[in-house]
Amino acid sequence: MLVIGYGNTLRGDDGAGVRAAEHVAVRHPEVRCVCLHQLVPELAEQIADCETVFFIDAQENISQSSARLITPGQEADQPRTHFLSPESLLTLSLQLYRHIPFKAYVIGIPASQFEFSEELSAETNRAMQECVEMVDRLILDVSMENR
Amino acid sequence: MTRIEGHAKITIQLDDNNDVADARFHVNEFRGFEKFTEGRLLWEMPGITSRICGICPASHLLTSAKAGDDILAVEIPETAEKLRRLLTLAQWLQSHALSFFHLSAPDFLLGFDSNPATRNIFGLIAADKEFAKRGIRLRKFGQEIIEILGSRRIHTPWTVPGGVREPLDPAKKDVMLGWIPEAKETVGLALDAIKKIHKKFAKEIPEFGNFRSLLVGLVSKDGGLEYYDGFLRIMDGNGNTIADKLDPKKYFEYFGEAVEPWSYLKFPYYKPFDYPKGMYRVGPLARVNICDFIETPMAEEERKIFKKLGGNVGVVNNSFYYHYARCIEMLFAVEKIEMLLNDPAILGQNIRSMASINRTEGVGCTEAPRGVLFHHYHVNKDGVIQKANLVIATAQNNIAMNRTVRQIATHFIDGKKGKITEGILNRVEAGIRCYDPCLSCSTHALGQMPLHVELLNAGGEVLDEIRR
Repeated sequence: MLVIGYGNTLRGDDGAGVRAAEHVAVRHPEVRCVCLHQLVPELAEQIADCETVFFIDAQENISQSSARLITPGQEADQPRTHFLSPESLLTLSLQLYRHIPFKAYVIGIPASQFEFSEELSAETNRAMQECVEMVDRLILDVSMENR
Repeated sequence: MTRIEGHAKITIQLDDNNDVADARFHVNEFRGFEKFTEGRLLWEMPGITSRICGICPASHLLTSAKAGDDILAVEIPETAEKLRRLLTLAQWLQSHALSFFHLSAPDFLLGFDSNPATRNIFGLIAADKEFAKRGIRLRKFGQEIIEILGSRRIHTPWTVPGGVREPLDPAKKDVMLGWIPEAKETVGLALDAIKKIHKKFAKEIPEFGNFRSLLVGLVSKDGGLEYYDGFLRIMDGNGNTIADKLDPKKYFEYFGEAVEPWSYLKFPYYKPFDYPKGMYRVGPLARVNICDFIETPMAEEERKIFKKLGGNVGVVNNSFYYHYARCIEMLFAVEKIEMLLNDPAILGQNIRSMASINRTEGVGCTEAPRGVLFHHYHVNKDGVIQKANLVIATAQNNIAMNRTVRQIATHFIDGKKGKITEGILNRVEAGIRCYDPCLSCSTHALGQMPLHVELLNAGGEVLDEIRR
């Protein structure tokens, strides 16, 4: 299993994905957790090597942390090669390494404050904790399925 | 603009005869890192300024730490310097690999006029999967060194004023050495590819930023290619060294910063020549041009071949050859990483000089992937930042990038048609990509990379525009 938390920890709530992944790393030492500023192409190899991947990111215009399953895809416009979407990364894994995880989740954490700050807003901090608990449950579910 | 880092816009201005009169590369983002770091502690600065950019955080980290060394007035231990050098080279490698394999190779392998929907990394995979994969792995090698040294790939706080936080684990050294054969092979593929590209685009290359300018960069004490320390050297477009052994800490005596109302990106220039005649270029093209030699054997052989492109002048003035210079620097980085890892001093345990504030002003300077980078801080007696000035490589190429855009637009655009074709537009963009600009760094901007090009008639009316 691979957990990728990404965002800018100097931009307030934008760092929620990174904070969540840091919590997951403490609670699940067996799970590989990666914290990043943005999604980059070389993650494709690690993604191709795992059976379940979680992309955790801050997201505007949602009211609570939520998970959705994704499949390979591409951005509608030109893919950004300095950073990629989770769907594009899956495509990259599939095209380069001919393998993608059985399950790939994008987990959004509601975020609203993006000013210069290393702190999460109270609402996002609460949602980030919910996100971590959600990942706990999903990790448990996946572990049970794999037995 | 696409396949660059940050926001930008290009306007192409026609004259009364509908010929291209001017073309401008606008940067329309602003972040203000210099302002909001005021009031923070010196020791926080490497961690904060590394957040300027997700692509070259290690360069800001190192330069900031060097400014801190200056304020502490310390000489860092030998091992710390070698580890910092290792980190600098890893940053070069991962950044150059991204620029060459993923941002520019789609143009070269698929063609400037190929379908823009597939002229990207996925199109590259379809055309040459192994090449694309190799590029990703080379970048991964650089990233892995950064991760090993700093425990995190991005925004690692491992480099600090006075040295580094942790010594190198011997087991990790072997992991890094294990990458070397593959990395050398991959850079060899890149060098083969770039030479084929030179032949393929032989007719177009002369229009890609082909002009004389000053070239600025660091060289080692004995004139070799330098990346972490050394002196500033300035060469003119005829290959004459017009200034040498300049102390980087006095950069503000040599360079001024002009501003234009149409861009947030400053326009640094060489003061003795004034603005805009003091235009200069930094980065791979400048570095490989100005040095007398490269200390690693394979890269030195390539440097000699590179210099022949300059003909009798002995200096390569065409910005298209940034790509070649970048490949040579990747080769140097791999060779030098191997040398550093095989140096027993790299495993030393003395890694940090401890001191308190001994000066209230300090300058750090390194060669970031895109060129020479300065961090200049003023602090109070407690180490609180009173003023910060960051002079970024991309900004230093600003005048030259504008000239490149103008040259390409003038050559390829027929204003009488009042339309810009996508292929021409892509050539204009490709001119900018030669410099691999990082607008996140240079304006300290944040965000995505929309394309916006406007074609204006003599009265300023928009004849055509393209957005992506």
